[in-house]
Formats: sequence, C-alpha cells, structure tokens
Amino acid sequence: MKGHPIEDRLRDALDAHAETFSASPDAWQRVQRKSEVRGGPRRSARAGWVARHSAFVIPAAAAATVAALALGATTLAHDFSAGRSNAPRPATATHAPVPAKPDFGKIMATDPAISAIFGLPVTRNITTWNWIGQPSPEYWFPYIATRPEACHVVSEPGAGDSGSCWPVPTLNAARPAVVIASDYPGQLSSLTISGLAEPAVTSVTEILRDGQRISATIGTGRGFGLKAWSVRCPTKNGTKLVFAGADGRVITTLNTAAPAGPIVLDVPRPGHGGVTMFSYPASQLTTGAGSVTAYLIDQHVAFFSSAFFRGSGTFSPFDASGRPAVGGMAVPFGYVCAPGCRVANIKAFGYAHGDVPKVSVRLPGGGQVVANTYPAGWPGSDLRLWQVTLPDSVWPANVSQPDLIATGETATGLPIAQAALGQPQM
Amino acid sequence: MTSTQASSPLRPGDDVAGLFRARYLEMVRLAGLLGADDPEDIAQEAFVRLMRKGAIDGDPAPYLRAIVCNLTRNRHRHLRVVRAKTPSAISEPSSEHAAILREDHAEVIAALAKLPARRREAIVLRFWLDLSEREIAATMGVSPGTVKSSVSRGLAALAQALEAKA
Repeated sequence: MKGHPIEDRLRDALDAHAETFSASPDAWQRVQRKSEVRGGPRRSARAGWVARHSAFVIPAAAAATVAALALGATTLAHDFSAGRSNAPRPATATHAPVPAKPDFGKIMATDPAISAIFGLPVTRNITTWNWIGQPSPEYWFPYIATRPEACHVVSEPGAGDSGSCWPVPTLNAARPAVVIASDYPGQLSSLTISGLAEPAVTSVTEILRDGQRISATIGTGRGFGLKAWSVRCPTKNGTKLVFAGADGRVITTLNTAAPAGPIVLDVPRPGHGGVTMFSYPASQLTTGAGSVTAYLIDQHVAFFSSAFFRGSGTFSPFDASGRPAVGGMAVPFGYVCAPGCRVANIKAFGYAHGDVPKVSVRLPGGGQVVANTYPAGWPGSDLRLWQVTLPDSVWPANVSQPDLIATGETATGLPIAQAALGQPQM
Repeated sequence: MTSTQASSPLRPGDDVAGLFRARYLEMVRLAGLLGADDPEDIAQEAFVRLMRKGAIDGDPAPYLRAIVCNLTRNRHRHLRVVRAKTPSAISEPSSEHAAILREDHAEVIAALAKLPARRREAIVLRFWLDLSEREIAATMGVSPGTVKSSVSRGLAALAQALEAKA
C-alpha cells in the first residue's frame, strides 16, 4: 500500500532493516529452558526474570576507575576461603519471602561465587542477589583480579537486571559501611542503593527529605563475611542512610543527598585545586553533560567526572611521582545509533611529566594523533595535562577496550616515555 | 510485507511450538526495529511469558506484540543507566547491519531511532506490520487518537529529519 513518498521510503527501509534480524537455530530450545527454569506456568506475578547477560560486562575503562581507587584499600578483612559453594543459606533478611534464584548468566561465569548467593527482597518486585565472587580477570586488570569481588544483581521483572562486581572494600570501625552500587532498573525516578556493612550493623534506614524513613533489607550468607543491604528510594529525595546496631545505636551515616555510588570511593573529591580539562554533552553513556577535572592528590593525578556514576565518578588516580612520565586513559563519552550503535566522542587524556611537551597516541589501525601538553599549575609540581579526541573508529562496537599507546615526546619528537592508555600505572 | 507478516494467524488451541514457528521471527524483527539491543532475548522472553500465562482468548499475536513493545521500551530505559556502568553491553551487530542496509534505508532507520519510543512504536506497528490504528492502540495500551497523533507526528519528524539530510 503505497502512495506517499515518505511512507514508501519508510516501508522499504523497515522491510530492509527487518531482514537483517534473524533467528538462532536453538531459539526454541532456549525458550523451553527459560520456561523450565521458572517452573512452568506462572503462579504469581512476582516470579518474572529477564536475563540480561550482556548488561553485566564492565568496560575496562570503567573498571580502571574503580580498580585503581579500590586498590589501596582493598584487603580482605574476612575469610573468603569457604570454597566455591553455591549452596544458598537463607539470608537474615528483614523482608520475606525471597523469590527463586535466577540464572545469573555471564556474571556468574566470570565471577563465580565463593560464598553463598543470597537474595534480599527489597520491594514486592525487586530483589537484589549478593555473593562474593572470584576475581574476574575478564573485567579487571591482572593485579586487581587477584582479589575477591562483592557482586550484586538487582532483579526487577519487566525492567531487566543490572549487576556489577567490585573489589571487596575494607570495612572497619572507621569505615563500617559503603555503597557499592546504585541501580535504576526500569525507571529513573527511583533507585536501588546497595552496599556492604560491618557485621555489627543490623539495620539500615534511608531518611528522606520530608522525614520519611525507608528501611533497607539487610542480610548475609555463608562465606559472605559482611552484611549486604539494599534499599529502594526516590532518586531526588534521599538525604542519608543511617546504620544502626542491635542496640539501636547509630554506627554510622552515609550521605545520599547526592546520588550514591556505585563505585568504591576511597578518595574524596578535593574541594579545590581542580583543573577542568574538557566538557562533554549528555549521552547514553553518561548521566548528563559534564566535564573531566584533574586533581593532584598525594602525588596521584586523579580524574573526576561530574556526569559519570551519578555525579560521584572518579576515573583513576595515577601515581605521577615516578615512571612512566606519561599516563592516561581513553574513555568514550558518547553513544550513537545510525543505525548500528557504537561509542563516540572518545577522549584520550592524562598527565605527563614536566619535560614532556607532546603526547602522541598510536591508533590500532595505524596512524596517530598528537596532543600538546599544558601545565596543570599545581603548586610545587611541574606536572602537565593533555587531552585529545580520538576517531570513533578506534573503538569498534565489539571491543571493550582498544589497544592505545601514549608516547611522551620531547619538543623535537624524541620519545621518552610510553604507557598503555586505560591501564593505571601503579 | 515480510514473509513473517504473511504467516497465518494462530488461534487458541494451537500448540506453543507452532505459534513459535509462526511468530518468533516476526517478534525478533519487531524488537529489532524498535531498537532492542538483543531482539532475540526480547522475543524469547515474550514467548516465555506467553507460556507462563497459559490460555489466551483470541489471537495471541497482539499479546506477544504488546510484550515485545513493553520489554523493548523498558529495556531502553534500563540501558540508559546500565550503559553508564557497562558500555560493553552495547556490542551489537552494528557494522553488519550498516553494511547490509542501503544508504537511504540507513538514513530512514537512523531518523526513526531518534523518535521518542512511543512514536517509534506507532510508526513501526503501522508501516511495518500494517496494523490498524485500533490494533496499534491495543498493542500499545493507548487510545486510537493517541496512535493517530503519534503516527502523524512521527511521520512529520521523519520527513523533517530526512529533508534536512537531503
């Protein structure tokens, strides 16, 4: 049925585009397996599960952020040597019941549990699943991949699932609780904040701006060591999380007036001394327009972003006091679909020592881009900063981290330092 | 009109396997046209939900389409957030699709991808599945008037985007 130019073009394009999607030969078997896993016909509306395995892949760039931050403080305060037991033990949760355990897919394959996997029913429909996972060299740099990770998955029927694994943080009297993730499954008006707490914590309460109190679900499982907690609350109205012990005594509070987590933040953002390097517009990879600012913290150059990770994002602190004389990261800030989707607006940025006026970035397919360095202006330091936009083609859709080498050069082009971008030089 | 659209409608009493054979590819393609990052996962989930729901009075195809639309829409919302943490999830057969599509088709699909989700749904259901306004309304859970408006505004936006490209 044709008769209008735009409609004709539209029909033709839709037909052509539709033809590019095909069915897997084992699709029916997969449907049957999924149906069997859920125990046949639905008995209640709460049992739904949409497996989103691909959603669990953490990019190396983002991983570097957390990996580097967590490195200094990530030591095991608890015994995780209980073996790779997947046998669940009922969590000491304050809400019940817990729905059937879902198929965790890829995240369980890459971060297999070395503790019990236990679910925390956060609301009628939302459950968070928690476990201590084996180190995952797929997502983390080798020196981080030796450490167990605190894994969690938020499951909400109809909204898909999200999950992540982060190096287990050190908790102690000075730091008895942390936020490890903020998840926004299905909608942005509310979020599920999840975290860990010392065993002495028996209750977690989110206080809203209007005084309303929302109790978190808290629990643990065999071999987990810590307490896991999760709470669902409005995105904009949170003020603080209150952690209390069995006697009702407040053990600590965490500020949630700004969106919390999801990264393990061991280095607070300094109040001054920042050098704004560049800005970027909002995209699907960010939570809004923002900028990247560099700080010098204890001889580490730390890059902060206002739009990643709900405003609390840190990329990576690089130890800039020794070799190499150049370092940095490559991070995509954009995402385009035309019609296939890929990352875009890829920025390479970093630091260089005072004797490095130029940094060239060698591209995987050949060629290079060159950035002039400029003084950061930090008192008592001759460190310089640099940034350059890379062609989108360096980051194919199926690559989690392209191979990019930054070379520090003298004014005459003599190479004097080299570093792989996206890998913290520790 | 694609071959999947031409398949005969399934009726109550048809076995699910038969329904799957007749409708699965259509659901995959519908999810793909709506911009799902994993159309097969969406389509499979729709059939799993249908199986769990049990008997349906009437043609089950509208129910499947509605689930695909809802799941894809929710998936979009979710991905906006998840991608901030997990951009590798975006690995899609993009280059393959781009190579397959002709340039003019690619422009139309790119413009379609920029439409708000509801307008995109209305456009795809109208011009790919050739559904009536009433059928689209039932699938999307909105009124026929809203469908009419969504299609009209969607077409206008597409025309404007494509003219700007020309």
